[in-house]
Amino acid sequence: MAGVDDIELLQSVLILGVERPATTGFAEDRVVFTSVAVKGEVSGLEIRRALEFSQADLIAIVRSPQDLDPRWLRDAVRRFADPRVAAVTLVAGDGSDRRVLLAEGAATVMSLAALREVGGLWWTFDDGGLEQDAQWRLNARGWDVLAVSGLVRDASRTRRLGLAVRLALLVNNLEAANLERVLPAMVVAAVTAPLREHDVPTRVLDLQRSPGGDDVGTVAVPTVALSGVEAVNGFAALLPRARDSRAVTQETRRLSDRMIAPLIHEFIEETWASIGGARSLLEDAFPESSGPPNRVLLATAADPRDGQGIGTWVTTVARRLADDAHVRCVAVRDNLVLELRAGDWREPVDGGDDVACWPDAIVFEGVYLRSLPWTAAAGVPILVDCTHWPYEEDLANEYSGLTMMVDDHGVHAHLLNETLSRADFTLVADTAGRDRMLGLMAGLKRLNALVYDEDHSLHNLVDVLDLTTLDQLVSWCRTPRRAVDLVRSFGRSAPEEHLGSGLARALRPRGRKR
Amino acid sequence: MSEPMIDVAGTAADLPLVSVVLVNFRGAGDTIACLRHFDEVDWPEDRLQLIVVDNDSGDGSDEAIRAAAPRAEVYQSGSNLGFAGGCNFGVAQARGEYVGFINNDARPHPQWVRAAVRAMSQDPGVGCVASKVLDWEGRSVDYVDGSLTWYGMGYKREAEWPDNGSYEAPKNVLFGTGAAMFVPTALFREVGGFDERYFMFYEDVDLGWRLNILGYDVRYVPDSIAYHRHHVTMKKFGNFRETYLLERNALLSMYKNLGDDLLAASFGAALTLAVRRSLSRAPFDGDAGADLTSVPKMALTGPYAIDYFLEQLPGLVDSRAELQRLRKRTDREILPLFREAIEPAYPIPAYLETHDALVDIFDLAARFHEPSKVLVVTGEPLSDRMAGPAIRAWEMAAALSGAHQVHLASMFGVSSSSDAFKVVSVAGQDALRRETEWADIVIFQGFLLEAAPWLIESEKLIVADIYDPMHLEQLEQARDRGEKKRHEAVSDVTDVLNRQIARADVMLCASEKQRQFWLGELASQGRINMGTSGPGRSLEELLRVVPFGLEDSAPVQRSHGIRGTIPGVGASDRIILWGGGVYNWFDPLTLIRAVGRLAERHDDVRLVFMGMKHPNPGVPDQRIAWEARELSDRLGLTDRVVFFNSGWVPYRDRANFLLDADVGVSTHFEHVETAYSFRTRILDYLWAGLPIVATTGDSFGNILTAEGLGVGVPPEDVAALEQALEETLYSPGVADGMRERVREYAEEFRWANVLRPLLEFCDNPRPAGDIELRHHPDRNLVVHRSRLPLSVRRDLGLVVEYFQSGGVRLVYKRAMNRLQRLRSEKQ
Repeated sequence: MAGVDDIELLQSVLILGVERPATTGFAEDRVVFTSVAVKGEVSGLEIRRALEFSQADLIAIVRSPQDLDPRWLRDAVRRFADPRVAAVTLVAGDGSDRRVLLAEGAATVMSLAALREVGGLWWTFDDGGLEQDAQWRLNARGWDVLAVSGLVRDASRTRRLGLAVRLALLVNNLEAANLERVLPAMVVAAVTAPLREHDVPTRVLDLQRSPGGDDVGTVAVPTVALSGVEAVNGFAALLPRARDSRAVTQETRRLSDRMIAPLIHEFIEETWASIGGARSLLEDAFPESSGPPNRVLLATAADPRDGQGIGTWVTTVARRLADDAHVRCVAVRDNLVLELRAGDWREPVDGGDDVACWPDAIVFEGVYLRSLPWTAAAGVPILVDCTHWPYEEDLANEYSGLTMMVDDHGVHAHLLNETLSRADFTLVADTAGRDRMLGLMAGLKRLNALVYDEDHSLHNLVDVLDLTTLDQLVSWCRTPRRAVDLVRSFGRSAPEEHLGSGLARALRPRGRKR
Repeated sequence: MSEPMIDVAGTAADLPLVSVVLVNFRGAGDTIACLRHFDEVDWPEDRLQLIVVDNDSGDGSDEAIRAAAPRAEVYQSGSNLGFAGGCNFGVAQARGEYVGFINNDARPHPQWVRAAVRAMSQDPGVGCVASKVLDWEGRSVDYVDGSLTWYGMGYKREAEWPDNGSYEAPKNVLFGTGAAMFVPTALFREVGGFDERYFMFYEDVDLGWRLNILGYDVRYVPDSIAYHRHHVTMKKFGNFRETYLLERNALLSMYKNLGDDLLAASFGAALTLAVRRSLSRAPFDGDAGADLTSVPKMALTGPYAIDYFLEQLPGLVDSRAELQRLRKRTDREILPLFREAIEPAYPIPAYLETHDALVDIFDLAARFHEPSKVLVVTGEPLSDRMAGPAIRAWEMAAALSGAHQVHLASMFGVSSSSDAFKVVSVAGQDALRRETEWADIVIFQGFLLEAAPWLIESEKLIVADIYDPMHLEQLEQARDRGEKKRHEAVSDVTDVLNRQIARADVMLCASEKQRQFWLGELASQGRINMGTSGPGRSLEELLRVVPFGLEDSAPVQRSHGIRGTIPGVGASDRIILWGGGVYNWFDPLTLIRAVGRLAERHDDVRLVFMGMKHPNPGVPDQRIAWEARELSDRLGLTDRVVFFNSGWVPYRDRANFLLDADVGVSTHFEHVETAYSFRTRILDYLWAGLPIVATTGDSFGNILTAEGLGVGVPPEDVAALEQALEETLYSPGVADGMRERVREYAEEFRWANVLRPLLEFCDNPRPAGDIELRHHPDRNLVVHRSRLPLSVRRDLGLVVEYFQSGGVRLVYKRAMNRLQRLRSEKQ
């Protein structure tokens, strides 16, 4: 990891704002300022234009230059010494750095490489929420976003996100199931809370209570009571843009909502606080998903209770995972779903029929992609545990009598290829096994620039499992993420073209802590 | 069909009491006019209770109505309960078994009551009759079917279209219009009547939707007609009031009636859209500095509707829970009745943009089941002289057209058309490409993948109709071509079938026995794997039994096809009918011998071969047909006892032949093809109620005797066949008993029944489990496909070449030529 001074030395920063901040506390020869002002305001369109061909390492979008501490940029850049950090927002107040989903502040500094990786900034949020949307997407990609306090002198000018933008952020970033649960209640509350707060007689159009007989086409309503109506209308107007950005956002994510749930929860709470209204009634009125924070599905051949073959190992893995997660197992040959409860395998209470929708992560204890074809298409991260290979015996059992297509070796090689092509992470038993696995992955074109750039050691793809502690397996299942080359990526095609010099090459995105 | 519970043509005393409810609000003139029309209604006066509910008009309406229409019972509701509450109040006074609702600005046709009661009494599954509603003059449509948008707004697609005779078929719909409809009174009360939270508008949509959810049919009955002067009531109150009611009631309906998944997917979007719609229809500029803003009432219709929804929510939560608990039909089953759910309805640019974005973001088009575009392809000509495969394709297209957009295509020529679906010729390359690109689902028989090889790699959903094991046919059909060429013929056709099997998302076969055979072939092609039989999948899904079917309507004889028409056949002769073509695996020879012997004792026995020449010129003439003719000539039977139609009977005329016959016959040699075949001619016999005499060994022949449908005889047994025919034709009472059993047995082979597995797939289409994996994009998946042998790849290359130079017709022609060439080379 680079030291603080190295970090300062290595970074070049593009500052974007209405006017150049008086000081930055940063090496001035590494800073370029570009005005993105239109009619005295920061313009989202101009920001996006400025980023298009920038070769800087970091960008700083400055919203309130006059409020910034003289050391603001120097201190912000220091946070990037941690390779997990992709964005820093300078917020008012004192206190330690805080990991957030998104933040509103006087300035936001972001890694341009990371930003490009998630598709850059979206025009959906040109008029508000530009940095915040990017921050949410960076989180979903697996990066950290920090709110850093102590570098903003006055928070009064910090613009708060409006309700329309907040709703659009939800639409852009939440997974479908969560969006569908949150949005109806919020829209109802957003429209009705201000009307009710100001005692607006909403039955004036209602024949039941107001039988009419008039032909007046307008009615006077307290302006403030219309705030929710206008917010929802503004949100509706953003949707044609969000349609495109949402599709890409969901394709680039590597973490599920559940993996960043505490951060999302905080944002949703803030949004509810800005709305008010009959929240509990509304939330109860719509179907709500539930369950522990992490659900891991083990895929194996046979009922692990039989204790045969790999069954004992599967149970060992399940018990170890159960400290952190809700664990189920699908035995593909027996067409059986089991659930680990109190350390023992039992029938799931719900029957396990929704096995395809259930998991946050899947651990293959064999090559089961063909057996569970939905896993190929699902966005769920998959760990392939090869520590107990070879599997010839399992394979022969699984496929005997089912197909007559090719010999066992052909089937095996083919199934192995399929499964490893979809693996987000692979564990093997020893170093020699890792060598073989890396060779296999090379043949499948998994040793590509995206994977290599993320972690030159390739431990992001294949690792050796400590068979005593199972630490790597447990750790991955705690925060499962999609492999970088199996999700959509942007701006990573030719980093050298942007960075140019040998010095710049050293600035390529570093391997992230696993 | 079950016996009618009530004979609506019976005497007055037999007829049920029917109550009719009219709601009046300051419209005595209309109400009186409507009531007077009941004098002309064809239903006994003492069996008709006319109930008028005056919704607290306060203008003397009630007295005026009582004076002008003494026949009506007039009740004061005490307050304006709206249409929903007024109707419920009226039903509380009803004594009738059925209750009809008619708007006071409408008038009934004389048959309005009788036609509706007939429909409800004949089928207890009918929970509501939706009357046909026309404009006052009866020229244009007001209601002939209901549609519902994804955001809960009901609409009438056909409103104001001319009533041009297109709406005369009864059908199930989502809802009837409250302007004119009927419900069994007890059922209306049981389901809580109209929801009074609606006041007016969409209470009829909600009631119909609820009845559908609860498992009842809402049946459009075109003979039950009313005439409507639209919107007399709302004109008094301003458009914004109507819009407000529509907006809020749409939300209520969605919340109560949609299942959990669809509600979650669509409700946030519907709320957002309601606000957007209102503000787009009536934009206004708010002045942030002013305390008050003057807002067009139209702009508040959506927001205030949401407020009403919130106000009603506690009660709605309970209503929803109860309704969902009692649910008998899933959203999936009901959604086809929405018809075009993705209908923005208001042509305002800003609104449309948001609408379209919401539909995309929440994937609503797929979730609300936009009708699939289905292409049915047959290799047979589509004309009035269709053979089995074309008939089957036609019936599939007809059945699917109820809920989907359907094109029926022939690779060989088209001279028929249909109102329900588009019939097209795909003999040219461009046409085939265009049609396959158009379709979401392609259902085909025969050689389509050879003519349209792009389908193999496409993501289209492919349904291969392999009800005809063509390769087994080749074992016999190519017998005359020499061993080497015969082997090639069988091998080539096997390759064709294997390609279908390797690619199809669903396969259709004709019988359970055939299914076992095909399962073996599927296994050989690697299609029995965990992708197709693992969790969440089943082989029943992949390989479905869809036998040949019977027409739903009974056969009608328009003229005699045989008696008095064929010279030598008398009006009272006993006629044995060979009801199809003569192919090499059939055995007409044993039959001719048996009939010849029978004719020695019975001079009135006649055997008629209905068609000797297949209408598809690609089907070669059959050796056995020639031998049959030659045997008959030799025995001196031709045109005296045995009669050959040297052509083919048009499909639509076959009833003229079938209904002239006394027994239907089908005899074949013992052969692997017959073991797995499905004799469509036997279905024609079932359709016509004919006793059947046939060789055992195939799926029908084996059950004839046991089911009492006729007699099964061993292959090539002249004596047994002669005895079976004699017993069926000449033993008193035998034929009658068989005819009755045939009629009962035939029901399960109605097209509507046999096509159900196909309809289920098209209603819930998805790729086969293993095919889905193949198509998954950009995952670098190395997906196994069974390697085609070199000869097949070479053949595919040839096919592409033929196709490029001569289109589908050339491909088909070359394929058939090759089979024929193989045969001729041997001779």
